[in-house]
Amino acid sequence: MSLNLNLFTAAPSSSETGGFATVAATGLPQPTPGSVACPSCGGAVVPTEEPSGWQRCPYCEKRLRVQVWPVVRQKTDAAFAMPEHATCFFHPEKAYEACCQRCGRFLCALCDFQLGAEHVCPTCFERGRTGSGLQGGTAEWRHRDVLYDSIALTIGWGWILFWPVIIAALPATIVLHVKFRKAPRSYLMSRSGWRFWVAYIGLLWLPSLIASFYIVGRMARRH
Amino acid sequence: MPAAFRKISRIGSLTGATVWYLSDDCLLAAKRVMYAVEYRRFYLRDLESIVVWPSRVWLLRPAIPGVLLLALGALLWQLVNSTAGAIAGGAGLAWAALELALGPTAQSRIQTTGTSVDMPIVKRTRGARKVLAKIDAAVRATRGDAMAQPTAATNQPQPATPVSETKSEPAPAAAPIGDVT
Repeated sequence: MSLNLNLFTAAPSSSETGGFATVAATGLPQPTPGSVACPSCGGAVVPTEEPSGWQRCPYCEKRLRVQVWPVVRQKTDAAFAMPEHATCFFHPEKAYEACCQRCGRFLCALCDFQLGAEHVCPTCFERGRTGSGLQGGTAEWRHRDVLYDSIALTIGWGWILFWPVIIAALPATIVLHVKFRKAPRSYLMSRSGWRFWVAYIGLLWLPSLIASFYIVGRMARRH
Repeated sequence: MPAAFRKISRIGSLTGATVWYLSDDCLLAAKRVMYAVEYRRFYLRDLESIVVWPSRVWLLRPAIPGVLLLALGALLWQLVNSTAGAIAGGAGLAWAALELALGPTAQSRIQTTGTSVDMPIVKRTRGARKVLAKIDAAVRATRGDAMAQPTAATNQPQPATPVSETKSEPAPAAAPIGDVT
């Protein structure tokens, strides 16, 4: 049994880069460009134009909906540089192909990482990955956010389950709000900050209710 | 500036949800588990295929809660009164009917250059056509000229060749490989 903490990385038993190697062992034809591996049997399935959009795997009869796009491969056979040519920073014998848009280093086809429309070198790629944690990093690098506003919301209303916790819940909510008040808008999928205010409502409704009853009671006794 | 993301689907679970967004250049999965969101990008330029298929165990979704609620209804009918039993039993039947009406849940596999990831891209198989059409349109818009080349789709269904008769040589490529650099 394996414990997988990464939310996206598939467990070792899943098909991440796998699938195709095992296909040959089953004797079924291997997928080629323009076809896909059947998720059930691994046989190559060529998409057909059915009116319903669904088709069946010719080998295991599993119902599938397949969408295939032409394969676009990056050029990775970096050319050797001629004596007068500009060369790669990392591979002095390879010809210049692109310029890193972060640090300006010359890159060959091997070192040219494309992120969307941006060309970056391996060093800047690694730096961007490691620096794209909770707050830092641009949208292109961002791979994780912590939802502080949702944490505050849970704290703000969660004390009802065990009321003495309210003593710690109020300062915790204030700290979260002050420290991360801009976080909801800086998430990759930005959100408004209403959860912080709803958390305050959760913390203050009972004290406010008790206080209002007390005040009303005192006023009634005076009259 | 990040490209504008538009939401195309949402797959909920007990602990969070995965929301799929589409931008001009990538497909973005935002997977939320408790108080953390992890993002995964699939650049449209790298997309090779998406396969969607009905989940094998989807019938458990209507069956388990439906049977449990019906059993609860029968118990309440016997032990409390017929009204409480009818409410619980009716809720079980309604749940099962709704799940059956919504159809099978879906699983999907996304194949990009160099990797294959199993992640549900739609909740139900009936929503697959709409979502795939949006992604297809975005891929075509992104690739432009590269998509002018003939695609892999054929009108002829593939014959179900017996395993013993298949040859070890790979079939000729149905879709050309474009070089974008």
